[in-house]
Amino acid sequence: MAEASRATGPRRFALGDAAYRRALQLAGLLVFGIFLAVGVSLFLQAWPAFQHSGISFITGSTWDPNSATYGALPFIVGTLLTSVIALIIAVPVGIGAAIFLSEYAPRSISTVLGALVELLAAVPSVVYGLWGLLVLAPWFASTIEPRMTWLPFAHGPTLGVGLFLASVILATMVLPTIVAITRDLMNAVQPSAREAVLGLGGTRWQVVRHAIIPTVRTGMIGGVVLALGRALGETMAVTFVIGNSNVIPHSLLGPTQTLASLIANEFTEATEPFHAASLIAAAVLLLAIAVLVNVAARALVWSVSREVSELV
Amino acid sequence: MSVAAAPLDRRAYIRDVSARTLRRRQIRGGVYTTLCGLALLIALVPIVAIIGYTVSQGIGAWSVQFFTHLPTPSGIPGGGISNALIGSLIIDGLASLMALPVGIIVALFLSEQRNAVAGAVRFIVDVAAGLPAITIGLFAYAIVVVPQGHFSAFSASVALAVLMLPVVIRAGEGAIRSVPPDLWEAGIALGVRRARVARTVILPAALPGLITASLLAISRAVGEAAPLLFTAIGSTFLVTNLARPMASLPLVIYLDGIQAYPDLQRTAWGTALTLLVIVVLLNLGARLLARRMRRYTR
Amino acid sequence: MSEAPVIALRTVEARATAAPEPEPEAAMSIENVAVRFGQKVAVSALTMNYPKGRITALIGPSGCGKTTLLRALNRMHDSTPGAAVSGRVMLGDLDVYGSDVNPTQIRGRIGMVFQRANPFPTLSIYDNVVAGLRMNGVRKKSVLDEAAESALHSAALWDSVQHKLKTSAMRLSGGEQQRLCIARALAIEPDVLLMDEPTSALDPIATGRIEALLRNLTQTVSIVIVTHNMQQAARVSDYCGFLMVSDDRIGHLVEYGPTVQLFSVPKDHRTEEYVTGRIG
Repeated sequence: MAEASRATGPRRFALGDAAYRRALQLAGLLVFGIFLAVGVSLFLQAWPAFQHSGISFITGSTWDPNSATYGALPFIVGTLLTSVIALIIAVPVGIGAAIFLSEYAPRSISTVLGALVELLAAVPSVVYGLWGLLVLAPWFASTIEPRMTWLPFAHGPTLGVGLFLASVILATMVLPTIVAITRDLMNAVQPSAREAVLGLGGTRWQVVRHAIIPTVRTGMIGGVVLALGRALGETMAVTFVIGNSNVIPHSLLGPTQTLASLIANEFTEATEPFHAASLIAAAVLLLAIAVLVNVAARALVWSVSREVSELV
Repeated sequence: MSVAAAPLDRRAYIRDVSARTLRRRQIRGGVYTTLCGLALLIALVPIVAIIGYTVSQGIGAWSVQFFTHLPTPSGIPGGGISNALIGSLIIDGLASLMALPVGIIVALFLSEQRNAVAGAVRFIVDVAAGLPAITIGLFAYAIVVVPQGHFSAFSASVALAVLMLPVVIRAGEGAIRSVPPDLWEAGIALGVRRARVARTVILPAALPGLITASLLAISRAVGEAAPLLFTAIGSTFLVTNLARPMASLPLVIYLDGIQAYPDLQRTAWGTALTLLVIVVLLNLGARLLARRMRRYTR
Repeated sequence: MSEAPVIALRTVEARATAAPEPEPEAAMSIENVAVRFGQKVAVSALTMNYPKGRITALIGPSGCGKTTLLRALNRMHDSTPGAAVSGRVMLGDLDVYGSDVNPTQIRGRIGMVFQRANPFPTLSIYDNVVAGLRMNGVRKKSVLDEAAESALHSAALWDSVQHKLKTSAMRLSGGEQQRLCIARALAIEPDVLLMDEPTSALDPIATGRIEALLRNLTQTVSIVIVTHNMQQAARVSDYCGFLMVSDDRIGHLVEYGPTVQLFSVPKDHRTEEYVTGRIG
């Protein structure tokens, strides 16, 4: 009995294993194909629009479906502006919070508070949007924005919705990413680096400044770039509060539009020639930007720490 | 040459400077520390505010009717989100059925094989994790809605499945990798085929981690509205037919939330609270399992 | 295995040419020091001197508390939650744990070199050496330059790095990095230099280089060195403290005295058993 199974065993054994490996590879290739198909199919659908508008798709600032003019510059500007302003707000706050959690807060508090901040990441973006529109917007319109008019680029009616509010909401959404990645990087710094500073007579802050921050700098930048990637692609929260105005924003308080919110707002009504294709072209643009930023972020974080890059 | 004298002077000088600047250094450190603490407080405000408002505004909309009745037009009381609840269940359930098995198999693939194919797959999965949700929605529109000629819940499930795949694959790979390699070797040494070892030994060992990965993926899919905008597009009817447009929780929040009518806005809040509860439960469940899994495999 | 203690003894005997000296004044001294981590007492009832201008070694089997004692000397346990140090630790006539003493300041007078070289990876060689000075508020370029050169000379590193001071510290070999750390610790001109098994991660040649420079260092600093290597203790130290874990699982100081005496005519039988290789 044992002989029989051993005689047929090795051959069956080998085949079974080869088939298993093949099946796994197939699954991998299938998934590879799916994601590739996302880019390819969208690009194919968008191609007529690219042909129709040419380079003016990226450089033109007029978006008028009625006259079949499709210049996406306002949305590129809107997308970049909201994301950059969001980072300007979120990065100092996020890094500061991460430093406090990692270096100064006692372990138990740090875990609980850290989890609380990271809970922000689990909140669906529609809920952010709803809160932004129904709670923050009125408050901004009545209280915050009238006080901001002394700033350059902050003029016009204080509607509440617009570039500034969208940026603030985006900042709230990427904050957990920055805090989580930075905090994990800092926690991973070896005690030997800290002890080197202490041994030389450094204060606690000097430990942060000379041992922790230089070590995590590269990874931190990767985390920030990743946050940028998330902000760029964010749709729903922004759509609620962006103000839906297809012009290049010239005021912090004014309404505008991002690539993502444009698609969300116009796609279901896109009946004019090239309208739907142009919207898909905008999606392709968004895709390209998001992919580039993501790859850059990954390269930065991966070069520093393997475990943290699993977070990313 | 006063070599012996020079170091002594320097030593005194260093001690003096250090003592003089100590106060200043400590104050500066204290200021920075306070700023960081402030940053933490600022970082905590949003989560408190969002949960606070969602609960306070949403709880008012909750009632038995809310969960059991179909929506009614604005002005007519007694409406609810029963169709959205069922719709979310169907759409997300189907998406999970499509994404989870495939994702786990690919996770197995990535954890086992180390060749160029695996590298390419891993790269594109990592990149796909950062794809904007709305572009995935458009993709589903292009390959399902357009050929079929109508919006459907099925297309929404396809979109969500594509969204869930990177989450399952990455978290799943982590879970499978944390299974001690000795288990593999023990199985193979006994002459058991790899497929069987995987099925009967490895996957069960990685089960808590895989469940965590699945919960995380589902939690992500449940909350997404963007991919549903051009696929399931929402409905005011109770729909169970996959080939028809269907309501879903995130869509209700969006479509009702942007309306100017207070009662629709209240419905949006109630739905938001419902969604929040679901997502928090899924996330907490995933976290608790992750902690238990770490203890088990360590 | 049984050769080691014989070699140690021979080394010591070779060094014991002069007549035994009277013990110099203490750069540091400890009296009845105990270190506790939470409920667990790690070391207790430690009383010994660290003579000025000499090298004192702390030896003993692993886990006996040598490093714990060392780190208590410059208040490194302050940043360990739950750690408590009792007893008196004196730097000259200053109580290291006195209520008016700032740990940050005391560490400017008691330097430390760690088991694994830990230069600041993002800084150049020069910036590493002067890092401690800068942290303590010293800004004057002339002072920094002089201190750096002097410290690098003392660490026997000047000749090999003087032309590449601005290059990254990570380009140095393991032994060179450790000497860089020694230079960095010396640059702030401490009174005492604590060394926690500084050569245990290095090859014998690098170890030899560092041992060779220790004697010259005693002109300006007193050295306390923890080592698990008996031969090293025999080679470099003037005085030796032998620690051991007793039945109560607490580290105690078994014997302390001139190295020559400890290795040739130890007072305690446990010391004799350790240095002759029967235990540890």
